[in-house]
Amino acid sequence: MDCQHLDDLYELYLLGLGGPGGAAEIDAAEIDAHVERGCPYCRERLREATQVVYFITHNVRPMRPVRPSPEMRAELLRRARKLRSSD
Amino acid sequence: MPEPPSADGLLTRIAERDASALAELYDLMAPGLLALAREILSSPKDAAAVVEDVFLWLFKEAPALRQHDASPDPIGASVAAWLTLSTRAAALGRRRAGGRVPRGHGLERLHRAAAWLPKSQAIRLLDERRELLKKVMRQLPEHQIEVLSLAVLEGCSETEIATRLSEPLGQVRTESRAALRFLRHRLRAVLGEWTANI
Repeated sequence: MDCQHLDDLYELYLLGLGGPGGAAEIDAAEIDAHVERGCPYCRERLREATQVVYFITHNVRPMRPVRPSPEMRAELLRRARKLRSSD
Repeated sequence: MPEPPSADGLLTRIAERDASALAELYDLMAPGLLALAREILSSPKDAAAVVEDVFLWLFKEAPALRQHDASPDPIGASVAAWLTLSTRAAALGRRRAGGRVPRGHGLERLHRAAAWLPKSQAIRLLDERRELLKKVMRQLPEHQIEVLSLAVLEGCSETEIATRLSEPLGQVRTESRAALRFLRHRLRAVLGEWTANI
């Protein structure tokens, strides 16, 4: 499958950067279709693009970790256990 | 936000519905994710709700992520990457919905992510070389960093960025693609075995 014309678009696809009518929006459908068909090139490039997006997300602005409250943690575990008991 | 050394094992236990494993992962990763959600959302309460939802979603999706790990390559998909992308998508979805919980949380595309998530080993390497990568980020022109920041943390489309910065759309497209291409090539160098003059 020839996907090299999509090379500049995988990060934009993950970020949803094209917007209505934008080039990336139109190509998103093509990338979706390639992934659905199991295209190895698109999968590999998406894997790499995810690393790029991960890096940008955590480094484009300085961010200091925020410790969640004990109540927040307790509520998450309460909901998780409820979910498990409803399986 | 480092990929935990025990991420693969924790994901296996989470897939088996072990809530204590979810708690361990939460203790390791929630501070970084909460910082990200707060950067996107003005309300700390909304940011906390997003992080909670994302961890619960992981609790549901973990079996699917582990299924991917059954591939011939035994090294698992990165939990840190999945959590980061999911938190960003969920926070932006909530931001667009004005604080309400949006239908689908804006996470639909990530349902297919198991097929192409980076390996945990790759994300761990990226975290280990964070200082070098920060240097890479500083090599970008200030203007391109602003474009990326609007796209990644405010969810602006290229059209919206052009309006915000009072610039032609074509220029924003050129800037965003140039910035992403630069970072992609630099990451290849930093994560690869060859060294580049960074």
